[in-house]
Amino acid sequence: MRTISRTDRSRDAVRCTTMTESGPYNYSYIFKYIIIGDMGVGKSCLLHQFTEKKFMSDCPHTIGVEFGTRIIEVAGQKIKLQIWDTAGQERFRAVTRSYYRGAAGALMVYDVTRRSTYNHLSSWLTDARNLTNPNTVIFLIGNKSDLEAQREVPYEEAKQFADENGLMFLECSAKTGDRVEDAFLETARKIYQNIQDGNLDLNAAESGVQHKPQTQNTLLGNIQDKKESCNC
Amino acid sequence: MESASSSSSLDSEGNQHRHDCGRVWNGMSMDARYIPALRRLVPPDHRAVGCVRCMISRGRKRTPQVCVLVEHMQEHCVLICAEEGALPNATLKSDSRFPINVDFRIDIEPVSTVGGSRVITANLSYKRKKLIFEADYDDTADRFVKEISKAFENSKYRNTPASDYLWVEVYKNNSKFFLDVNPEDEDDLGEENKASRECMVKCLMQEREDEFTVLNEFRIFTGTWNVNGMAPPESLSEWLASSAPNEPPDVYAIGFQELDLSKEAFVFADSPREKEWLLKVKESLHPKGRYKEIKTVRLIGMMLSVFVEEKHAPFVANVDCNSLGTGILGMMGNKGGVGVRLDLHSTSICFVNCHLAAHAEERERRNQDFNDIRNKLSFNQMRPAKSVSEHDQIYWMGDMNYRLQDTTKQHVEQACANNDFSSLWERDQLRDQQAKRIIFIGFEEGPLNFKPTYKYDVGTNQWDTSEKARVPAYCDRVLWRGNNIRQLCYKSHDNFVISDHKPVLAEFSSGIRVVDAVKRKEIYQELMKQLDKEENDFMPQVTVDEHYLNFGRVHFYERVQRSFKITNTGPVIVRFLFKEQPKGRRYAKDWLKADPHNGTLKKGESCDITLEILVDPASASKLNMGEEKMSEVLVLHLVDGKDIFISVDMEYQHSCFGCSLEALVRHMTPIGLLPQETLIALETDPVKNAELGVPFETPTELWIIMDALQRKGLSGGNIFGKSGSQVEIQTVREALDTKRPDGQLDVSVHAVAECLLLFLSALREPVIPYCFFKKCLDSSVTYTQAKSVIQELPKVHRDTFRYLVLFLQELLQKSKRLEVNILATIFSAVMIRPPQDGQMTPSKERMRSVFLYHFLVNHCEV
Repeated sequence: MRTISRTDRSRDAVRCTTMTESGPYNYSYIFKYIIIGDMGVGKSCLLHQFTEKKFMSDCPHTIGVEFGTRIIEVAGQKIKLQIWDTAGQERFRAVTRSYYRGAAGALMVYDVTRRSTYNHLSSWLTDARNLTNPNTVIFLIGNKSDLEAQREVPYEEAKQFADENGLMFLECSAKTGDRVEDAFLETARKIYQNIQDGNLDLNAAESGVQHKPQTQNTLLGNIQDKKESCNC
Repeated sequence: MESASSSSSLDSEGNQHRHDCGRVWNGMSMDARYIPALRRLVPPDHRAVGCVRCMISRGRKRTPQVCVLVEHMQEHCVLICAEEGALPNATLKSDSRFPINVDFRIDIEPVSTVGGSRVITANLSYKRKKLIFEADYDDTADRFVKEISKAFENSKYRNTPASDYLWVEVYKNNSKFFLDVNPEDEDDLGEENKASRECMVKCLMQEREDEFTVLNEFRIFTGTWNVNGMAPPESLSEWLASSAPNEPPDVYAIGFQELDLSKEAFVFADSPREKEWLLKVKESLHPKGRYKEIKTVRLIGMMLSVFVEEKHAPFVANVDCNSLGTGILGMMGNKGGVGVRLDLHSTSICFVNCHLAAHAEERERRNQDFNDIRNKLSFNQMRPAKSVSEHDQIYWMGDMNYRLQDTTKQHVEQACANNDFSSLWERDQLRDQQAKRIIFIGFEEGPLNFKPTYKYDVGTNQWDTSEKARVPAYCDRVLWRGNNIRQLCYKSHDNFVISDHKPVLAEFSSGIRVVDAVKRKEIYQELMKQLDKEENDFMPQVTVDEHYLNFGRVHFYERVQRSFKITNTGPVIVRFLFKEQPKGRRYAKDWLKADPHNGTLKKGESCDITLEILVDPASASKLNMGEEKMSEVLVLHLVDGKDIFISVDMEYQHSCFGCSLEALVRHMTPIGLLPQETLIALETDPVKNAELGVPFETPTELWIIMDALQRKGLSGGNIFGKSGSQVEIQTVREALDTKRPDGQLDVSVHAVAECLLLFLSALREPVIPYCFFKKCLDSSVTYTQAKSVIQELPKVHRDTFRYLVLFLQELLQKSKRLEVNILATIFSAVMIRPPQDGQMTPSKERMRSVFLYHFLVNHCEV
């Protein structure tokens, strides 16, 4: 019999190293995110809007786990977000649970025009709490805020749910792009804050954060570049 | 030699391809080995003029590449190409292009000798892109460089306007960042693919600099004066503050020569004159400006000071200076040059002040001095060190000492009196040598509309009245190189009489690239986005034609296959595999198998993956009992990419295979005809849910199998020697599960025999129950011990054991070809099974075989 958990972890660790051992980086951290929530709430569209700044109008259901990256900047630090977009279908629930481990941020999405997706949040939240580490930032996102006429979940109600459960919360629209950036960036800021506050043990495989000391490259030591800050 | 022979053989081929390939001019600037590659690279309406293999340096990076000069409608472009594959079948891919137009520059360095071989070097630049070309010196390389030079010269005299060079677009690859992956050599994916993103961003930003910078006009004042070792006069304002009263220069660069002729200046680094003059300069700068001294550098008598208006000081960066002596022994600083470099906003500027060898006849020496300074003066604090020529703008001033030749003092005086200065220019050595491309290549100079500045009698405005009566000369000059520089004035000042030279000034209106911070941020973010997108786009992508495979009804030991197609639709090679389930479990339940289970797909390639279900004895009981779900989600993982879920459903038909003896002996209805819930209830509590008040001794199914074997005859050789066909086994299974057969099974004896073994190995609890496994092995030494274990078994197990032993004894009697050892091994393996897989060892196998052996060779007494 194999030594189960250890094999798993070391395999992950190896994979992380090979992924990041690719020459000098221009980012200091890698944060792993997962996006969870019922089928059809727009998880993949959020990811697409965030990475490509485009709305996918006929996005097929995700049957599996999609993967996207983007480099952002928080407090002058470049951070690479590694985002795992999971299938929302109930039948995959058991499988997608295995992707929660090691996430630094969990974006839990519901559809403001479909109450059922909101009602299922507690079950998603249970998974997120049980399967991630205590410092994982869980961000509640009400998607499709552009469809005001069809709204079934009032903002205040969801806000209250978020407050009661200690979640960060906003409503956004993957279609118009409204506040999509905020959702991803505020999560990163919170994670970064946790690092600064010493709440996150970067050495733990489960932290979902990898630290990459920025390579000092004097060759590129152009003053202008050092001044570069995108404050996005 | 080699090129001559290969070129002739290629000529005939060339004719063949004339119509579908670009024209390749097999001239003297062409490395003929590349002709086949060029035919593939160059489109029909272009012409390859030359091609050489070379080393290309960009900053610190030095790579072997192939440089190609192409022509289209009298426009030329230099292509820097990567060579893939080996000659003569190499392929060229252009990774950067240098259109030869107004933005292009070429500087050819004198041929140098490196490690015994001669090397030809040229600096190429196009806008902000710069590189150094080096090739082994031979006729081809020499001619190639000259062709570029010629193309550049010709580009200046075009009578048609230059195009936007859209024609070079065809050489662009689809992506600058990721090499087209050659599936044959996966290992080469490494370096280039993972090229530093930071480098890329910087490089791309530089390419787009035009978009986020604006040219601001800066007034740059340059002055040069050979002061003959004198103390400064009362004021220098007339010289230094001669610009328009309300237009103070933004930058001053003031050069002196012979600032200090004292012996001390040669020996000590410190010179009192330096301070005196510097102070005087500061006092005399334009009164409307407030200046900050950026740098002063001095080498004995040569001093260069750079000042900028205070408001520009925050935008000055990377200031560095150096000096180079070319005097006695090439070390002493009585002749040579000093330089200051700086970045003003994002334009790099280099000021050089020099003092070249004196005397009319020392022209060659001056040329040498100039080229030494140009090639050897470098700014070493920069990383990498920058040479003079690596600057956007160069202002070169000094006492160059070039004389007027083939003329007389009288003629010069006459010309000056008539303001006919231009007649003097053609006699000027500097202009002559520059025209011959020996010095100041690429530099410009304004018209010398002033009197020669040398040599005056000190204290007067009279030219040399000494016995030597030297011919006056334009010793003191300012030249420049770079784009967007306009000279505003170029003159001398006669009123300074302390020296035998007059001070000269040149004022410029220069376009300095000023970064528009907002625009830059926009473009920076755009680039980051683009790179993010590329990174996402370049992840492995596949499509699968089925995400869901329903196998429908599946029976015990029935092989069912379904397949789906996976196609690599992405831009890179894909490696896929079925990911292990969490906690290190196999990628799927035991009854499901994928073939292939991992693999590699080239771009556009497809692969059929077959999923096969086979419920074997090990899985049968769990599925019978509903303990294992009849569905599965396979995770198809792309290495470095996403996961795809493949769902599998089946409906397992429960069967007597996989039941327990206790259940089987208590029912009449065929198992297959029972609802699954009834079966589960029967299995869970056989006594309570029994159909029969009095159970059978042994399962009916077993009896049917034995009966069939008896009927088919046991004497026909080894009945376990062959396996039955799929169909036959299903026939037997169907018979056992659905109807009470009359023993007329229309299958071979081998199929029935195999079913016996399957039946025994599928039993939920083996004939020797799991909890007796260890005891059984421990008691295998003697028959007596073995018998005592059997006595302890539950009745149905004991009865079944005895029934099987009696059958096997009969079999041994009837079939002389069956060996008792073999039979013991076969049957012990299905009757005496370990509680968990993987607990078997050869010695345990031997022990359980011995255990059964005792019963086969002795009179059965249980």
